[in-house]
Amino acid sequence: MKCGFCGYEFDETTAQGCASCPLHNTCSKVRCPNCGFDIPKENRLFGWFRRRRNMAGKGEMKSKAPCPGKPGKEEGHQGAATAAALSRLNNGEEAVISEIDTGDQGTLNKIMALGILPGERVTMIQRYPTFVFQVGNTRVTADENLVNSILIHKQ
Amino acid sequence: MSGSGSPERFALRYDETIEKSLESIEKLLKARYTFSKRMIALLLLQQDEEIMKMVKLREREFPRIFAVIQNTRSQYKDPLRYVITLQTHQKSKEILAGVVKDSDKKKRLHSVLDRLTIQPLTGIPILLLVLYFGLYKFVGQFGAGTLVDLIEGKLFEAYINPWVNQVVGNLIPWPALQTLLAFDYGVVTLGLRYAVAIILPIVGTFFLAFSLLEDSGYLPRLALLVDRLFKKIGLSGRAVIPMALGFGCDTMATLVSRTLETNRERVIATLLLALAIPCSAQLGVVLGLLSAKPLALAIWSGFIILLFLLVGYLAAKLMPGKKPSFYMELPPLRMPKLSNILEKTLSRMQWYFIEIVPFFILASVLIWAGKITGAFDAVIQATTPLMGALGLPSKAAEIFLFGFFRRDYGAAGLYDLQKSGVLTGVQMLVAAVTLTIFVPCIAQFAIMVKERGWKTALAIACFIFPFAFFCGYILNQALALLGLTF
Repeated sequence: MKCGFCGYEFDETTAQGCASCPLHNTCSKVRCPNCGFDIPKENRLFGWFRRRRNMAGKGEMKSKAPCPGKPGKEEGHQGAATAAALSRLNNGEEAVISEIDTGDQGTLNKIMALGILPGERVTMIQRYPTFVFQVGNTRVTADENLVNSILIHKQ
Repeated sequence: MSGSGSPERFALRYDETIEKSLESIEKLLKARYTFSKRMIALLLLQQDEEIMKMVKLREREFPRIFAVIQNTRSQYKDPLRYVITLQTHQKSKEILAGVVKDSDKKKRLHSVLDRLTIQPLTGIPILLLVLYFGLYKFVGQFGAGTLVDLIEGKLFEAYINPWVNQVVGNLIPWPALQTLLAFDYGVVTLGLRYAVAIILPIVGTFFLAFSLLEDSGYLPRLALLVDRLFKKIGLSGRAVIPMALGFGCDTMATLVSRTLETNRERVIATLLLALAIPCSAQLGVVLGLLSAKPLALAIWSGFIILLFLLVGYLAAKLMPGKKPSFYMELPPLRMPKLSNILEKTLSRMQWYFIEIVPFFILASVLIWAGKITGAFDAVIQATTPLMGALGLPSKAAEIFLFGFFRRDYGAAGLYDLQKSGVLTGVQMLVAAVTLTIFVPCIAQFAIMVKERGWKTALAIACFIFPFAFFCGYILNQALALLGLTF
């Protein structure tokens, strides 16, 4: 969504600016990550769904950042500056996988076992209730945790 | 075996660093292996645990090998497994590009159906339709109703049982032996009748429906639809497969729960299978008995679903461990092949039949021994107050005792009890709920011990045993308080 104050566009499912506030679970406002302005959510029902989805991805905030480039080590990938988590891809959109987050060995092995590797084209088919996407000739369904470890760059 | 003779142009070369360390590891490997040293070296670099252990045992120079691995690892920022997989993948893509051409994908009718089954808005109604026709209509009404009536009522009650009773009565002079083989609790008239006439048609129709779903590729879709819900109870969508199979036979499902990823998931799945998933015999009998009373059926299913979610939620809160992750390949929907379905159904039925018949006969013999020695009546006497607390007649203790031997045996007993007309609607509902929750049968318990170990299995059983009666008691009180009758 778009911030009504500064015009900054952001994904409200990842806007966690006030996660430390004890009221934030039932709070009906979203805080813009750019200017900190509180925007009311448009609909309680949609808001409920959004909160559900927020909760599901909470553990993976690190990899949700738009560019999780490894600090301290230079990265040779061409599109590293525009890399985003696969969960950012909208339905029907296509992108190329640029990198797999190699932080967690277990998750990495699962992703590789499914044939999801850098250079493959990926098409998002469905985002809710569970992500469904196509990589090569394989269709894969996975949860937020896994999808956030796959980094893409859009064309 | 080393130095394989693959054609030079397909030989897979990795980058220089990896090739160098492969070479030095190969030189350090002295023992004999069943496959090439290069392969062993590659697996060592990728930190394959089994190979690591094996090499550690066989090589005296293991510390030097390990040093090479560590040195190589430090030169990459990503895990070596990732680096190596990437290079293999690159090569395979090069080979593929030379021989395969992608054609434009055609849109077919079933791709529409494909989409409909994975979107919650259409997928959940489709799921309910599948449950209604597959489970309720086919297994509940056709299997547990029509088929059981036919085999049980028309065949056993009318011909086989009277005939067996007569033959045994005429040929065997000792009453003790007579009752072992025939009459109320005989091996043939009770054990075999339950197995063949009541359980087999229900289980058979369930396995047929399950194989059909399995072959059509529907199950992964089901998994993705319920993943979000299952995460709440500490499971991933993947667990839907053992859970669905549990509606056929919980024993088989407990065995299948080993496919789940973490131990935490396996324990929760085992608990829920033992507690809240009725097996097809129970389900069929309960659906058959309660189908005439829609409100009772609704209360039964509501109660069980609530219990499933509540206990799962609490178990997920209490159990330590990592949260489950969900990923699955999603195959396209396919038209199932009849021969495959029949073969799967038959082999499952065979497994099941071989599994249960000895238990049924054993249970018959034990009950017979209990009758002769009076132990059986003593147990029923002892449980009468318990039955009283549930508002059930003391004869109902029998079905719980049966249920302890086999889940389905108890269900079959419930069917018999209802036919004799001693139960009121409320009593039937309470009995059905308690029996559904009540013990994992001996076979399931044995598998629980085998798969999860003594401690977990005992803990689960010790929780379920009193809990089932507690639930029955609460339900009975609640029904009485609300003044509901059916």
